[in-house]
Amino acid sequence: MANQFDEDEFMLEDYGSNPRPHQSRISASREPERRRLIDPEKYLEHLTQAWVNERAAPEILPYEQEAVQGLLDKIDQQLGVIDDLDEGNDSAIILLIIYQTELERVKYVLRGYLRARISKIERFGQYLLESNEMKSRLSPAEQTYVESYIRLTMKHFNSSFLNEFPPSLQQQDDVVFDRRISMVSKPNLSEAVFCRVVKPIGDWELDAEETVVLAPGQIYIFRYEHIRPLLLQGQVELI
Amino acid sequence: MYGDEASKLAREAKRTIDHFPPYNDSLVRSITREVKHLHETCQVLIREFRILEAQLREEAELLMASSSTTTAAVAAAASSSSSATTFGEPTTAGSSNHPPEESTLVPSSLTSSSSSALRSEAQLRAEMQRQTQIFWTKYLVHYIPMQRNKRILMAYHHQRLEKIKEIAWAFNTLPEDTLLQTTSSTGMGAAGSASGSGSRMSAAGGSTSGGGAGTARLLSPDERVFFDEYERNRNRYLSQFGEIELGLGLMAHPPKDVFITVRVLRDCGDIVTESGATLSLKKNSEHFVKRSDVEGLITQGYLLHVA
Repeated sequence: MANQFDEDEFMLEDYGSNPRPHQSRISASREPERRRLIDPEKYLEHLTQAWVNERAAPEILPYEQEAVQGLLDKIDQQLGVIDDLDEGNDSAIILLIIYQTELERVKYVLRGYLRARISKIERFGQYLLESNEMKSRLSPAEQTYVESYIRLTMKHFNSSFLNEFPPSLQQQDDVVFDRRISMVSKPNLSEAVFCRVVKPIGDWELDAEETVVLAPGQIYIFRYEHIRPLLLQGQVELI
Repeated sequence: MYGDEASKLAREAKRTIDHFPPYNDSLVRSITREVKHLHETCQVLIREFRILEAQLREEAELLMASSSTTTAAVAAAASSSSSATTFGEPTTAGSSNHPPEESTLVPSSLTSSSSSALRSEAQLRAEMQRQTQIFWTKYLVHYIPMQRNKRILMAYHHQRLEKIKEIAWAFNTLPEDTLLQTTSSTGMGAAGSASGSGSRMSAAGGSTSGGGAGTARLLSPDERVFFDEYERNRNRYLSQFGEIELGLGLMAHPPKDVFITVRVLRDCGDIVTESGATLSLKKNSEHFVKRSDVEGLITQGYLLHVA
């Protein structure tokens, strides 16, 4: 039982004539990892959690290059499996439906993750471009995306009305009045988030006065900035 | 009143938050005009204040000079009256003829300063402070509406851009008819408000599609340019996934079934499915199809998801 299922999260089992030809290709194509490796079986689980984190965190999180690419490869592989199914066979039809349902769900998670990122990228575009650290959290495609997106919106505001304005009013990044509302939207890092502790952390210093003992399984509500480092290290997850 | 036009636009933006009205070009233009006018007024105010300031300073210097040398105070009565008019004048003077006026003012203040007995240093300072206050009040009255107008214009255009982006993700193109009232409930942010908004949407759709105008007509020329370039940017982003069709635009609901039954509400001709088969979708027919093949058509209102 264990042997049969541990190969792949969503490849139910090997179907007859297709002796998993892609497996070696996947592991070969994965570049040597700089960060912790993700178990290929856990790609989907990992990305689902990344999606939840991304939606709950106020700022953009590092791009899950490995999981996204891994899942894309698997989708590709699974499409191959589906193509090879013998349509005439009754059991093949059932398998086909199961495979495709699985596939749609994986795609759903993927696009949910990517769209969540895109929406944040558009919202904080200017801010992301100003900081190298933030920029490094984007995938190359996202970087080009945000650059041209910012160029586009600026151009649009300019040609719609700002061009007509006196030069002193033409910037798009000023701070409005004394209220200090900047036109560049920034993520609010002190937003409250719910998080679940996944690794034993022990004493965690929230600020000068407060220290909490964090043990796995506990659920807390914190200011995002306080647990930011833990989230980036994967020691807590957002819910 | 300053800012009236802008507040009209702000109210319009708020009122139309869940549908997509045509671009309000005339209002945007008149606000832009108002900003230009305000800016000119501000410039005039600044120039006038500078001149006034220079005069007062000059007067103060002369006062110092005259008090030290104690020159004879002559023609006191005549010049004191002229000095009074000097102070009243620059604020009402037009901005057009500054250089000549300045040159005429300087001698008059010269003569007035010789009557230093009338204007002590303290008085001068008080006058300076008063004028500064007047200037700042006037300036702020013109400056703040300018800032406010800009903010409202930014917000208005931003709100429209968000709508346009929603359309881009859902349709990939500018739809021919005004079906986009439905998009605001399918956009990813609005997923929660989807229930119950249907009837409101369709009512709004009815009123705008009465004219039979395509979506493109609701956009300003600049917005159309934005749409095209946004599309191009989006497609470049999507191209990184190569062959795999992720359907990034479709976010409505998590997929529960692969195959669904749909009823065709409007003829959409033949479509080719992912597997290569052709599907002929005639009005009022029902089909059992793969969800991902027709999801876009459901979003666009051509098909109805029956079961």
